Amino acid sequence: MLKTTLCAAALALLPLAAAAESPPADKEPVITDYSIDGHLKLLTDRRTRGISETFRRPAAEFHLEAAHASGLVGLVEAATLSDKVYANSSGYTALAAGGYRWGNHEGWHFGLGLAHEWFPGAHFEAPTTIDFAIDPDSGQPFPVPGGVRDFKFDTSYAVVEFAYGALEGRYLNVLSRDFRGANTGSVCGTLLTLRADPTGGLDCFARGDHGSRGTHLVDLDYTLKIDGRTSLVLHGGYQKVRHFSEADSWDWRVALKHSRWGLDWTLEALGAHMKASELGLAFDSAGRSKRMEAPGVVLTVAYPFSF
Amino acid sequence: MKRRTSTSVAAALALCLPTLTVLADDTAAAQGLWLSAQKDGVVELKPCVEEPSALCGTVVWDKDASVSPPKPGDCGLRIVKLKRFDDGAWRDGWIHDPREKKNYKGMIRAKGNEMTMRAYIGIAVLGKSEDFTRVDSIPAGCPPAQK
Repeated sequence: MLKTTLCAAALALLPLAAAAESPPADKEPVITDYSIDGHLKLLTDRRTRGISETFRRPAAEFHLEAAHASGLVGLVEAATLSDKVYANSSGYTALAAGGYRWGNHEGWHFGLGLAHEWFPGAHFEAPTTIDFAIDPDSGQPFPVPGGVRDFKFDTSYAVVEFAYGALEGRYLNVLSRDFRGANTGSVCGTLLTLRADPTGGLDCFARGDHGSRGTHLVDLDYTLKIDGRTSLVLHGGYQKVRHFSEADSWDWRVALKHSRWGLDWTLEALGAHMKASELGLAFDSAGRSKRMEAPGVVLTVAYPFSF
Repeated sequence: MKRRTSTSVAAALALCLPTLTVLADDTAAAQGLWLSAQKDGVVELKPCVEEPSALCGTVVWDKDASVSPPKPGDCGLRIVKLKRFDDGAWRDGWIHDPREKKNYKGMIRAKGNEMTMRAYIGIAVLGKSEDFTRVDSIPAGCPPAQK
């Protein structure tokens, strides 16, 4: 919007007639009651709360946000992702959200909303129970998985936004049964599979079949303005996964943002720390593992647009 | 008693005068030439000709108009009219976005050599801000007649 008021690139596209459309000095102009803004973005890695969704490989993102003078806002977003991270994925994810914002932009301001994200095609089968049987030959007990079910990653959230000056925060509470597929099958199954000591995984299964509805997610951003087109963003985040403290994590991000040539450039260092590091592993087709939460550097270029 | 009253009034006036002076300074703080953050345009803010109590802003330099051959630019385009100064900021009016050809509600806050222009819909939370820096002169480019 205003960022583009004097944007050279935009002005170059304007016909001379634009000047004639400036509101006449003696008349009150019609003031718009909506805005639509968006961006197309290319990233060397796409992460959510410090955890890569693209197997630490490049990604593309489309984002569209609309607001009405009443305070109602809505957004849609689509991005590529990796089927190494989201099993059987079609290769993209989508997000839709809607809500209401209010307050004083120079003081406290707030937002309330609902959001849902889809991971088309992505699903996995996992056991929800582990029983023990006795090997008749050795007489030793061995685990027998049971209650195998098919799970998806789709997740719904309630969202609360709050901001004061340079500080912006967001709290999300998971409304769907699972937070991005976090449940007994995925969390306990991963621990049982990847840990040399099966105790943690078995203890996890012993807690019963659970989803992760009620998970808490908190993000805090502090933006330090360097000049009119450059800023430094410091981010800290925390996720507390209900029923699965093994998946609790915190994340960090330091991002340098700069606007030039009509594009928004971001260079950021970021990462996450998961309580159970096995949950941050993903495997390629050759079986080689990568840590999705490992610290990394990401370069992003975005083309912003407005209607 | 009478003398005491006069003294009180004088004291009250003495207290008020600096405040009034500060208010006058604040309303004038936004006046002048302002270079956009992208350094591609200069806006001149000054009292509106048709309504001197309001603040108007006109594009007096456009980077596109200074290239050779000149591209169509926005020289002379009025993009700001704000009617009320309150709580250190100009409010109640409109800001015009030439690219979108849309008018928004607006707010301008200036302090020293920094100025922030905010365009929004409905409430100020639903908007975006752009920072400007004060400059002393207008670069060559806009046709003189339009400055």
